[in-house]
Amino acid sequence: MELLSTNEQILLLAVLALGDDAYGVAVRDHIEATAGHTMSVGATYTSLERLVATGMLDTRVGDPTPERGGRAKRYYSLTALGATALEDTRRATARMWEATTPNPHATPMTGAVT
Amino acid sequence: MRSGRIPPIAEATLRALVPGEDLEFLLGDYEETFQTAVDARGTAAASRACVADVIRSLPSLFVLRAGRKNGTLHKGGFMTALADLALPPSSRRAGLWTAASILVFELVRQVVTGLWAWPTIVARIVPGVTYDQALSGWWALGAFGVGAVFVFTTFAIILRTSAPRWLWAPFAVMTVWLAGTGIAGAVTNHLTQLAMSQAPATDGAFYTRPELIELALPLAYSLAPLVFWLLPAWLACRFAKDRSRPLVPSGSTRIVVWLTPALVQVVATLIGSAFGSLEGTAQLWAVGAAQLLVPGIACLAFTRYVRAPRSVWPAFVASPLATVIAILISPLWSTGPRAMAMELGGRAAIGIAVGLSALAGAVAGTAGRPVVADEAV
Repeated sequence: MELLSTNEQILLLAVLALGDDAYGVAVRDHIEATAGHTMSVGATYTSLERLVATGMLDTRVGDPTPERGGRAKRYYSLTALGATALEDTRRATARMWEATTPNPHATPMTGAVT
Repeated sequence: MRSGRIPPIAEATLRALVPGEDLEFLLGDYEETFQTAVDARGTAAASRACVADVIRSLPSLFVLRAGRKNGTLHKGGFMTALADLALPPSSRRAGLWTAASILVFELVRQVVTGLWAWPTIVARIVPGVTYDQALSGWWALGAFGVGAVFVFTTFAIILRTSAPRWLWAPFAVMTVWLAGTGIAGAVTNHLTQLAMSQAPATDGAFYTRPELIELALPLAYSLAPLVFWLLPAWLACRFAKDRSRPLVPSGSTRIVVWLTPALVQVVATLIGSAFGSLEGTAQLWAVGAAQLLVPGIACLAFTRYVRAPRSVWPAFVASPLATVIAILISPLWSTGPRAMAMELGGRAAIGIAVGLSALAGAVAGTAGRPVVADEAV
């Protein structure tokens, strides 16, 4: 089982959340709105295409639209492999959090350094 | 809404960097983002944001371009793309293992030369110690013997990895070249002495006729690498554990394995013979300039006209790298730390100059060439 990186998780979750309307600009806007993380248009496109290359995402071409200068959208959808990887990563992360029992002697994570 | 509304510089950059189908989708994404920004903040701010976004995207676009070309669009793509640019996957193994073979050759040459010269150096720097010439032959034999063990052991260790069994081939080219130049030098020297002994003495000088036996020793020294270096290298490859790997290079790998070492030797000989007669600073400058230019020109011609792959350039770095290693493992006290550091810096600079020159030449020579699938080497 190979765990996904944070960036991959964010992109896959955005595609999952957007459903049938997941294309480059929408994914980028969704990530910015929900995670507060800004990605460039080029980086978003390249990262999505990388996930397609690794079999995590599937693509289909939509119709051309006027606000895109008459160019078509490239829509993305989660594949079974992508869904499994996302679920595996979620479970692994959850187990890690559960295993992290607070140590009463440890310095609080939010403690200020004086 | 018409196309091309994003700033021309942004569109031109995208068109220059992004290949085929990707360009249309990406231009669409930029158009849409730009239009939204124009509605929200006005054209000037949207234009600035668009150009800034394209600039921020440059590493990703570079990865996309290289990934589409080489089929390596995956995680860690930027470094992969850089590596693919310098060493395309199709010829990477052949290029790097050829360089490794040349490196072993240069190292054994350094080891044997160092051992051979050791008594002379000791006699020169240690007071009261003299060098017995009668032991010269035995000492040379010992040095070559150590060289044989060094070559066999190194090759045997390397061949325990995924190294190809043709590793002996670039080594053979280097050794044969060395032996050939040694024989040519010995014969030329003998013939010159012979001619001088037969010519009438005009300046009062008296030259004795050289005996044929005097030719035998330089010839033996020239031929020794074939027996003491090449044979162990070949034996290590011949009897390597994994016999499924080919002993002789095949396909387009041949051009890298057989011709690159020859080119390396030609370039080294060219630089050495062209500027060897100069002295002092002039020689340093001339050799330095040659190290920066000649490998690049050679790689450019080799890749463009002989259709050699881009990955030939590491072979040129092997020789300077061997010198740097030799300095690092040489005893500090023989020259002193300061002199050693200066020598090391100089050699490292030569290595970097040669490497960059060869890389630039190979990249220029293969520009625009389609990348082929990975080859079995």
